[in-house]
Amino acid sequence: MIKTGIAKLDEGMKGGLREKSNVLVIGPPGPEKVGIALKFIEQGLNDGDGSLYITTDVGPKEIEENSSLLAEHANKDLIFIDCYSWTLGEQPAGRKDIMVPGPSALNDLSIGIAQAMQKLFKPDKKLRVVMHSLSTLLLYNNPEVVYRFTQITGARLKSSNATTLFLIEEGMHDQKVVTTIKHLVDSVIEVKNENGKIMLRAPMNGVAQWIEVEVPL
Amino acid sequence: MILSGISKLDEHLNGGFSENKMVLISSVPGMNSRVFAYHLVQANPKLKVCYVVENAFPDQIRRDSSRYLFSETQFNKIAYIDAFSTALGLPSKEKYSAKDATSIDSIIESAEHAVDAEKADVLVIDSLSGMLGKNPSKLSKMIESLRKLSDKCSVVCLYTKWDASEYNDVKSRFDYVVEIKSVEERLLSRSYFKVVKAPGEFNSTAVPFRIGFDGVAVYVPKIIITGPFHAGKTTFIHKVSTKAVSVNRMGTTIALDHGYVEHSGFSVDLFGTPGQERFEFMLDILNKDAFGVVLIVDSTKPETFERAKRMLAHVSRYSLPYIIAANKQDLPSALKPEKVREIMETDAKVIGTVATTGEGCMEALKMLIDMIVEQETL
Ligand SMILES: Nc1nc2c(ncn2[C@@H]2O[C@H](COP(=O)(O)OP(=O)(O)OP(=O)(O)O)[C@@H](O)[C@H]2O)c(=O)[nH]1
Ligand SMILES: [Mg+2]
Repeated sequence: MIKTGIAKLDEGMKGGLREKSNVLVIGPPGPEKVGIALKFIEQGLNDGDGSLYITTDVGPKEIEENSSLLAEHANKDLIFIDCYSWTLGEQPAGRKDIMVPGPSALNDLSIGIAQAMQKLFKPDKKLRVVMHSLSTLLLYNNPEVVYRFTQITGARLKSSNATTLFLIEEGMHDQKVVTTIKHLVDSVIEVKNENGKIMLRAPMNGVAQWIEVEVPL
Repeated sequence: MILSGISKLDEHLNGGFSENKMVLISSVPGMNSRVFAYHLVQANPKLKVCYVVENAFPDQIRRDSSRYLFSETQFNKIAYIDAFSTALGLPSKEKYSAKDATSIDSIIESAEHAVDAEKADVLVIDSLSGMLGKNPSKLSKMIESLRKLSDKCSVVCLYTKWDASEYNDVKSRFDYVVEIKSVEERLLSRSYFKVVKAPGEFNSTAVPFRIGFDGVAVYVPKIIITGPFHAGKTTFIHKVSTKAVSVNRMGTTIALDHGYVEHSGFSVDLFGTPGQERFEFMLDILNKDAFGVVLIVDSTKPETFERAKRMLAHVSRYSLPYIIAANKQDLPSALKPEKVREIMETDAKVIGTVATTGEGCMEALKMLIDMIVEQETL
């Protein structure tokens, strides 16, 4: 089991997510999904796991601004892959992230992931990955290509001991696309914000009813 | 002749690529095929190269290529066709750019224009898979246009194999196909390339390489010969090797047997592990260059198989291909290979050997090498 870092959710899931699984985190646009992702990575950093955070529509710096723990561990047991900054022009000064030309350069992204995994991988170490987000990839690529990317990357990440959160925006894509992606992952965490209350459920992990949780942001 | 710029590859192609052909450089996802294009640019200073880039800004390719120790002047002469900027809704800074980078037709049109204007000798497409990703149904039409262009210049397409069935279709339409693969799917370490298609004669032997500061560096892969105490490792290595020594490689910490084998164009370094407790440590160090493992057991000593099984468990953590040599088959009390397999509770290939005479040893090694280079990746 691998803890998400959200106590109530872990409790409901009887300890956490299944290790070496691919998990879709789906919810309407809003900061809640990233909040879950940050919790997940922070938990890993505290537990001594290796972590990889892939950004596609913000820079790593913006992610770090929301978590001093992430900032502290960056380039050590946390690696960022940045598919965003180059589309604006330059690589941000002073950063050592793995750079990918843009969200349509999926092979470059795969190269980056392989590089990061080679750095982080140790036979007995748990790894955590956040793909933030599939929605951006879907905006810049044909859905078929994104399915194959998700499938191949997901399988590889699993076999390198990683548990991965794939973030996706609800309501932004065809229902058919979302359904297909749900079939490609092992489980789903659903998120919603009800009048400021952040609610989660994970039906495939034993949390069938919505539960209210505390997430930063 | 157009040189690939990687001497081992040129050798396998019998000199290089003939002019006015369609060349496919195909790789499994996550492997860098671009650097193969850089070598080609570097190796043919007299040729004019047009380079279509649809998944990055041309500046990013300029920067990427400058990370390696290639001559910059040659890269400065490349005429880039920017098929990226307009897809992001941005104006292009390049002389040549696709009006609408989301459209395959528009990209091809700008490439045709550049090839004519520059009197190009080589057109690089980076990448074909990316272009197909925009509209997979355009494959035939696109290949047709590229084929026409190949009357004017050589067409070199970089391709990522996301989909096996699409790949088979794509592959059939090219004159030359070079595949870049990885022995270990998981971390994509241990890469190799091989020529799988060419109009004339070619050598399809797999060539292990690493990407370093000077681009593609070919190296001799290691095969680890291991097994419990006194199983016959040293004898095995000395028997199969063209030359072999027992060296003390890294100071006093690890002494190991070392041999070198050349067989039908494939060369490997053999490393024998010493004293049993060192094995895990050795593997942790050697696994990056290791392509496979031969586990040797003394078939007369089933009491040592427990230890051998633990060694296998360690090997499997690195996803290294392996086979088992059931050694000392000349002795009357030797268990047959099938029996060894049964006691070891393994699905691995087990082959009977007599290290002292060499019987079965080369076969075992060949079998392992075949397993390594045949192992199909996604
Ligand atoms: N009869 C017979 N003896 C063998 C065979 N292979 C090796 N031996 C003998 O077994 C003994 C051990 O062989 P080595 O090659 O030194 O074994 P090793 O695995 O390198 O041993 P260590 O390095 O001490 O673990 C030697 O006396 C060899 O001559 C074989 O196939 N048949
Ligand atoms: Mg020995």
